[in-house]
Amino acid sequence: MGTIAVVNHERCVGCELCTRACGVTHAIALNLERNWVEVSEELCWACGACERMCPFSAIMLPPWALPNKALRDAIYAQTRRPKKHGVAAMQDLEDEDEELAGSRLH
Amino acid sequence: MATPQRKVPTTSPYARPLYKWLDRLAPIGLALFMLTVFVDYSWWMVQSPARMMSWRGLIFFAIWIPTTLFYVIMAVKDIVQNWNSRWEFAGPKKRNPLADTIGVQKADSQREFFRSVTGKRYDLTQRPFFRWLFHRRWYQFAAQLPNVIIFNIVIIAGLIGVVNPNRNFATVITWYVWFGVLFVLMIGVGRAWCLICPFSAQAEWVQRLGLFGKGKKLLTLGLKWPQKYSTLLISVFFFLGLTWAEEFYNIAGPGKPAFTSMLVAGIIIWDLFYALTFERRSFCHYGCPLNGVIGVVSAVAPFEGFRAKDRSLCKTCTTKECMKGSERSYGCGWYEYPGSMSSNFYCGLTGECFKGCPYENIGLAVHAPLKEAYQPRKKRFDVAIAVTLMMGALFFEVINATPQYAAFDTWLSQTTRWDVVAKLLDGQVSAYPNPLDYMGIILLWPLFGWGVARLGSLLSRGHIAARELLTRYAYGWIPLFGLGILARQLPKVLTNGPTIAQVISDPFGFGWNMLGTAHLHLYARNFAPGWILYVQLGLVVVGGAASMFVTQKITQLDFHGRPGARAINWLMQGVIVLQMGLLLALYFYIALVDPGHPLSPPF
Repeated sequence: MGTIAVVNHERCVGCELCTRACGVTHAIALNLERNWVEVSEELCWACGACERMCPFSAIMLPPWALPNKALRDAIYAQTRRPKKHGVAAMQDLEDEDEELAGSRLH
Repeated sequence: MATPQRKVPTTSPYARPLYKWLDRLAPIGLALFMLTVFVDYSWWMVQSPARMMSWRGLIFFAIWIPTTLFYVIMAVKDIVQNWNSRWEFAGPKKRNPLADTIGVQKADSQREFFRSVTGKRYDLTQRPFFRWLFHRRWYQFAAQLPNVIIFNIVIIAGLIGVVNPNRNFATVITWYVWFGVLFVLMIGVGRAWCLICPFSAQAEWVQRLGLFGKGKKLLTLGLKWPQKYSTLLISVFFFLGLTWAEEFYNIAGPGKPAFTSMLVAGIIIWDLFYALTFERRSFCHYGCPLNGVIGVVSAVAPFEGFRAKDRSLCKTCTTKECMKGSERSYGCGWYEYPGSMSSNFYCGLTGECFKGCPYENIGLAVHAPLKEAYQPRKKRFDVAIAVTLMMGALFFEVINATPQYAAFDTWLSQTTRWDVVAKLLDGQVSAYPNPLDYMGIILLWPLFGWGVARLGSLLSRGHIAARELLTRYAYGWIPLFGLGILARQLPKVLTNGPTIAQVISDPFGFGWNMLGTAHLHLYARNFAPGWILYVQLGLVVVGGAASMFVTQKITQLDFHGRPGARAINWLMQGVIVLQMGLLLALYFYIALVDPGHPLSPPF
């Protein structure tokens, strides 16, 4: 078992509170067909925000999991929005948004 | 499926002073009712000095006084705390504009999961009375209290009452009345029993430190239930264990009423342990022996449970009072989220989500029966296995009435020396039932289900996995199981049930006459007409027909256009007909060869 959040499929109701809580790396997404959330192994840095947010304890981290800050920083460095001005900056932001959406899907 | 938002009146249909005083007086009335029962029973106990001065009197007051004191103190605390509080709903919050854009888009993306609701449905919360009632904090308490009193009397009656089960309140109310009413409630309303359940009521009152008020602190360690044990099968194994113990000790009569008493007290203590250790109603999910049966049979009921009226609004709600709780409500104890509910399986009808939702977006609709069995897209493998196991238990309960089974069981017990162990355990003289044949017969059904699913998978030339076929088509067995088990209870309830009139006036068999009905000579089987067998057979036929209908719908909804779907449908329909035929033949055969058996009507 990896050190990422584990979803209890019997308990998960697809409310997406954890998806909202996972705001830094966007590692959690709702499976539309099954109505439960799934955690991306590449993006989860085991911060525990989802576990604290879930009212039904449907998503939990293994007891030995520690936050992987290096992974968080690496993902953040790739996806953060640079401080630019003008039309070029807007174009960059749109490109980044597309990349981010793609990374969530795969 | 997003449905258009219905306009909800923001003002109350009743006058405010009436509201206020009803909220104050209803709990007081219930507390007084509790005290009246206590005084009445104590009076009759004191009137019989011979009983009063014995160990029976000691047990009576040792249980009666602390429990009543606990409830009264809690009730007074809640009444005082809430004397000036405003329990009425202030009116729905303004609709989030994002619900009409992002919310609708998100709800539409899950259209296949939620499946459009077809046919007529009527939302009870359109009626002002139901809206008013479900907003009351004492709504569930009022439903629970009479049951709590009844089952506390059951504990006392079993311990101190007479040994004759037909004269003892514990056996009569539990097995001749409750066990029949339970199945009628499941088939008629769903988890109505869970709403009024006295076992979880008492545990929850201790956990919440209050009877109906909304407190801030909870008396529990609040541990999370381990993920790997999050399955319905735990509850089903408890059910199978309890069924075996009930047969072994003959708890449901003609065994000693003390066993019933110990069983009820045991469940309450077990529930209390869960409530003090784990969060919310973990017991109801993973400890209650009846959870599986009630949840499964509820699929037959025409009630869909408290559910969101407009899912697009829930998609944009960030506060989720229905799950987390609010100032005036607790979060759902049953781990349900009305915004994504697709079946009534785990709706305990507590109404906390209804009180909590700031948008007044929760409804309780009535629709055609059986819909909850075939409509959910999300069908679970553990539920499917549970259904097959419980079907096995039902067939065991019928097969065990045949003389052939009795001969086989006796032979097996002698061969395996189980009769010696049974004597040590103080079970039945015949050592019935041997755990080997008990589990053997029950396990035949999951194996049979798995075999049929494998055959179905072959018919689809391997395109559909056997696991998927078993998971989805096992839901088709539910109506046959529900009505089959009701048919099994029917002779016992109809023939022995009338003794309640006598026992209710003389609950312990001490010769009391509390309500003036103690001398109504309504003995067992007086009311048993010869047509019970035909009612039994009729129920099985109706259950079988309903199962075939559900199976047909499952094929249409879940397997339409997939390879071999038509052949698989015929196969699954055949399985239902086979089981229905077997059940009919068994009920008829038992009545023919053993008219005196509790399962068969008297001729």
